[in-house]
Amino acid sequence: MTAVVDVQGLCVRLSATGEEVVSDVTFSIGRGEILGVVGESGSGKTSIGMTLLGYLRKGAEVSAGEIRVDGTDMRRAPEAELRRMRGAVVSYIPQDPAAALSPRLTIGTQLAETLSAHGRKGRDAAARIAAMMRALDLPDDRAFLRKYPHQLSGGQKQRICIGMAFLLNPAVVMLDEPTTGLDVLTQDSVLRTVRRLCADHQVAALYVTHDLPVVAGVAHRVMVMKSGHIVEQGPVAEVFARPQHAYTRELIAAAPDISCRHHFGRAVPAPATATSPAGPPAAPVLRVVGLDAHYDRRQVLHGVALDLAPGECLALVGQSGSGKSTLSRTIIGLHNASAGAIVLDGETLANLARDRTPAQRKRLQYVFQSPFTALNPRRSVAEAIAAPIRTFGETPDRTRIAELLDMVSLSQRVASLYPSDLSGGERQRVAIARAMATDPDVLLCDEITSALDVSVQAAIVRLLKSLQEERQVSMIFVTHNLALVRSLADRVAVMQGGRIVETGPTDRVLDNPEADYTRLLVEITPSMQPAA
Amino acid sequence: MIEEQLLATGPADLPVPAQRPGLLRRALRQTRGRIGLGVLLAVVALSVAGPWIAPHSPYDFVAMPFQPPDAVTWLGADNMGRDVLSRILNGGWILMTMALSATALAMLAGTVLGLVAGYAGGRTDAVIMRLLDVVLAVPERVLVLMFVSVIGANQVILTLATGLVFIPSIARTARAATMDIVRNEYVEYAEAIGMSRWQLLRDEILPNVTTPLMVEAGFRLTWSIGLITGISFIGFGTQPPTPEWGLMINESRDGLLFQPWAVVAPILCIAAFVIGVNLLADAIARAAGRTE
Repeated sequence: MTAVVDVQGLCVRLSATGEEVVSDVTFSIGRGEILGVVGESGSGKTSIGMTLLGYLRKGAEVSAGEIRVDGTDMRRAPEAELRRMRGAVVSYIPQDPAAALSPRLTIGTQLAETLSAHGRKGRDAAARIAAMMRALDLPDDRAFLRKYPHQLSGGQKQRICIGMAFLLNPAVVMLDEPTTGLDVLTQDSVLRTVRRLCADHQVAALYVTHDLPVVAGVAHRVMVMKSGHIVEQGPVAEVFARPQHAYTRELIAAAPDISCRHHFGRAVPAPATATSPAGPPAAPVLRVVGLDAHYDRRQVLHGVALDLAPGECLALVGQSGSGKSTLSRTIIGLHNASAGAIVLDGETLANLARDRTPAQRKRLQYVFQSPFTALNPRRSVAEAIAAPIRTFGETPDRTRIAELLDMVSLSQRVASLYPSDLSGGERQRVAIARAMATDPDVLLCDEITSALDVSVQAAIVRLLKSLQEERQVSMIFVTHNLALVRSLADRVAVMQGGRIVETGPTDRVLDNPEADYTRLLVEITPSMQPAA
Repeated sequence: MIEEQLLATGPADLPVPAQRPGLLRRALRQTRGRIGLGVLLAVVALSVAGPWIAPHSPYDFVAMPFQPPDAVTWLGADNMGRDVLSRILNGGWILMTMALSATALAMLAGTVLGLVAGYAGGRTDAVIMRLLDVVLAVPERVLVLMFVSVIGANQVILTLATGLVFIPSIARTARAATMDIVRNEYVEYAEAIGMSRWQLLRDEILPNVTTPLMVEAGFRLTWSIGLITGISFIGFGTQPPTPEWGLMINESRDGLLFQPWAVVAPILCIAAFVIGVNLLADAIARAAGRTE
């Protein structure tokens, strides 16, 4: 196998500070081979990929090493040569297809642009595009090509980007977290398309991601990065089965996997909670009965019913648009229900949070998805945590705030900082402390780890588990990540099209799914374990 | 092992709080900002200290009408033989007070209306904004003229009218900024815990819309100076014998050919004031646009 990509001793540094973000990286990729590059935010994995295109973001420069792509020395090639190669020899598939496609041009025009930029026009170009559309499982008729990006789904947009990248039969493709924003069903079809195209066209691919199970499913070899260094490199099965480096072991330990329960570094197995199927069912703390909800005229929830036992963690799973977020927002009183009832400990709640009693609002708390918009940038951490306490007419004192920070394992120094001083994981901890400030009985968590790195996600999940065990908080955990569910939840409710299609104890639902939809979700969730 | 991981991303190595320089400081890093502030401070200093350092009373007839500059009247005399320099020094604070009051008034009303409209949305938003559109539909100058000619030509009415005509544009800015902020999850959280609407607007939204509002305030101040001096010039604002810069231009314009200083001096003062405010406002706008 001849190497199409050959990188020797690559170093990238920031011109301003001289700080090295990539140090002494050596690897090669052969024809038809997919190399997965994994690592956490800031490990330099995207920078490595970009050097293959002869491009680096402003302020960074290649300070040493050699980059050969299809025989061309990318460091010394003149700009005109690089321009000729980009797209034709080495191409790029971006993380966010919505931002990569121009909203004002039809996808047909954008695909044709890729070809005309390299001098291919007319009948030949049209035939090529049609062939590519068929290869992508997209309609190849003119009507589809006349659509604008906003008329396509996220998965279709990403497939168009993939098509653009493969249109000129490149030798190398660089993929930058191409499935991060997609739900598991779409991710599966995108991954399969990538794998097939790489094999059919004998393309060498560099697949950058922080998602280990995805790498396990798509790549042949894997390279693990930490702060600019390669810590380990080898065949996927080998590395995941017998990781040599401590950091790889940590990453694997932190990554939840659907096939087995992780305890995120905990030695003691999680004790069975009161809701094990054996015990007598306790009276539910929260009960949702026949809930309907609409967005304008469109009905998004159809007669949803749920019970949440005290101290239980219920995972609400489903793909985007299944209504799981609407359900949790309706429960907390941010969205109006059009029929049905939400009952908290025997009291039926008013539709909107404002119309509920303070005592009811206090008992039901919410943690939002994005750590970046969940906290007011103009409020210090102490003020953010004090806000709910103050709203419920109590005076927040220093000891209470110190206690809450302690509960989420943040140092006391954090109190005077502002959200912009904190990392995503730290912000999410503050959001949890804020929710815990009112000593709630039920905590709703809406995809709270989806924006975080795996090790941070593991730490947050550990925190939630300890809160659940020590304070007997009941939890509804909304997620599309089935792997996480296995490790966190006592019970699972699977949503599809605004209806709950299956509920049951986690292990039963994931091991012996009853509904077809659940079975499909379980099957396509990437796993690091070899297929059993 | 995972413990170390937690500590590495958790509490152990918190970043030192990066003290981000404030908006004004960032504005003053630009040359235009520094020049603007310098010019503005000079004009303000002259206006505040003016009444004390003026060599004559602004109302006394100390020379012949349109007397050219000499040792007694450094900038000559105006149409009635009053000292131009003394009138300039005494007239500044009047204009400044009027312009600042008008802007402050417009900012207060515009911000409140914009916040309420942007946060409440729906019918409240529609009613507030359509009412403001009525004000916006009439040209500013015409509307102010209408007020001062119908209600009365004096400083107070002119200030109030100037404030009123600027309310819609400030309210629009505040509303647009609010609508961006309202989508954030921290506002939803505040609603979910049932924070009072007034508290929500004050604590969660207002602090996050101050940047565009500060920029807007700078530009409104510039405009109000032009509007006030313009109306005074045509005689509907400050009344003689008050030494107000806009009025002074009008009073002495007959002597423009043989005693130009009586007209040029107030013009230069108004220009300096406007340019100073404008440069500073522009620098603030650029500083705001660059980082937020």
